[in-house]
Amino acid sequence: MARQYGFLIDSERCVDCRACVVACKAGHGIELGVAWRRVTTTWKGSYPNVSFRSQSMACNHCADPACIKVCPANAISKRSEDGIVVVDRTKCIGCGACGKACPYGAPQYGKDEHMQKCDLCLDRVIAGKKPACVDTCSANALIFGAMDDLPRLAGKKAVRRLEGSTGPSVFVPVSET
Amino acid sequence: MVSPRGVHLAERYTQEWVDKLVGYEFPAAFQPTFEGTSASYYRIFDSVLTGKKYPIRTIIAPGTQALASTRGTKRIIEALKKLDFYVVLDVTRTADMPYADVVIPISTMYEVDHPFESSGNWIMARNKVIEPLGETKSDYEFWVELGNRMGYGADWWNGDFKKHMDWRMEPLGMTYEELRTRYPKGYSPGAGSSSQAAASAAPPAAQPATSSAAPSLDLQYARRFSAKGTTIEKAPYLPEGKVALYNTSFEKAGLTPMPVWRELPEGPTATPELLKKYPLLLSDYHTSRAYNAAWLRNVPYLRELEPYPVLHIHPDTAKERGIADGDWVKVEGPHGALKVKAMIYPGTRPDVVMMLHGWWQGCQELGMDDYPIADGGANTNSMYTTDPEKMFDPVITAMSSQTLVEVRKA
Repeated sequence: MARQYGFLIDSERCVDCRACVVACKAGHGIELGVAWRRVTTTWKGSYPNVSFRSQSMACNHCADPACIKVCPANAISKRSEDGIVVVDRTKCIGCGACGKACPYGAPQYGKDEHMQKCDLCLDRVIAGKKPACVDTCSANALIFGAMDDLPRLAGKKAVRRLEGSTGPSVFVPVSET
Repeated sequence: MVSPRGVHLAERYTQEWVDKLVGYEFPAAFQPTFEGTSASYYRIFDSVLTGKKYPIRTIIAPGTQALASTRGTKRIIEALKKLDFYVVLDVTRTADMPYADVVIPISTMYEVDHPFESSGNWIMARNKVIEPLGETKSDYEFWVELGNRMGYGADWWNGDFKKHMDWRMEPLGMTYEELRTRYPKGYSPGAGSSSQAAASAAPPAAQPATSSAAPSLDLQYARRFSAKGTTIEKAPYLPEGKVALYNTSFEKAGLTPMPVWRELPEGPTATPELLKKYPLLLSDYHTSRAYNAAWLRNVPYLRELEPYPVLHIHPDTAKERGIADGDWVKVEGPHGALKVKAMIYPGTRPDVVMMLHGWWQGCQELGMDDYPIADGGANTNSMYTTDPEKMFDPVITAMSSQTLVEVRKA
């Protein structure tokens, strides 16, 4: 594979504004009730010594995607040139197996029941732009790049590969617990 | 700094006119203020009911929705019913429209070619982005046309909107059309003509806000403190010429010259007798990640982020009441009752519950209906006192938004 694109997801910088969710929906014209990118919030401590962190996540474009293995219609594939995992919705039969297999809940199903998910803004990336979510993030909590480049793009912040059996193409801060 | 003329016509004010103002936002001694005479939102509606200082029979309301935006919802409903004539101007449906005799749809700023874009010492003619989606005009055009048709043409440019804009531009020595055509990327008064030739004028971000030689006006303390006030007699706000911790202007107006502690209308120390029935303190915040105050609930992509009105409640407080995250709950207090969803929120003090203010509107695309504007709905403004002695800060007329409540599963 020529390269693998991925995200640096820095929950320490996230301000929980959810603009990434809306930019994703607006950029792809996603139907109501479906979101390719979602933000989850986790609380730590108890009042008054209390804080929360929010983490934005979509498809992690894994090195070894669980969704591809279970798809009976060969509708999901991983692009050799950039590692982006894409779904051919004309082949999808809407069985939902990918949604059950994915550890991150990335596959989504709307009214037509065929799988839809983050394609890393393939059209924008091919045109040399950043994905819509990254472009809109005012806190630089989402950074896009080739996996080889992301530790450098993280600047002074020490980052590590997100662990997982499917090899998610995601970096997170080392200090994040 | 040279600026276009404002639309407040402050130079025409007389003391007689100022004395006719109802529902002072700032005390009479400080009227008119920077933006002209200024009345408190709620107090205007209160004047409709009390007839003081004289009966208010007509209100023309642009860009407001008192029922959702200000305190005392139930009294405002009574006032809206009592008005002879209520006109609402807005770009979107508002909570007040069911009570309006006339609703006038107004163009958004994206649909009109006026008035200005401005930032610091930079001004540009506004360019519309799209044609108006409906048969609408701007609120600026509305006032100029209304003034003219009421027979005050001499004061309202005889309804000629172009003449109105040119009058505003007079201090800059050009017409509005000249601003648009000669400085399509904006004009900075006093920046010199060579630096802003029509084609090469810099956008605002690249333009220095002030010259490096002189400190900004805010830092020129002697000038700032001796500046004339905005009242008819133009008395300075700081007559000693320096910052006043003991404010003699306030004292002269019969207000406390130093800050003093005032109790909440209802609270643990203000009304301990209510604690047994209503042990929790309710307050509200006005902005969330999706919404500004009482607006935008009708935008589907935003509504999906925060679909329901929620009550922030501490986990222990919820547990004591058998309330789980996402349960519908009743919030009951001495002045009203709401029905909202509980959100278990470890960041809230155990004896405090918090809500976002301004909930009333549904979202058509998501099949969500409007909520009732007062009892049984989700509008926190209907929960607070309307006792005139307790509901206002005496100086700035900020309104109290705290009360005591009990919460139980609905």
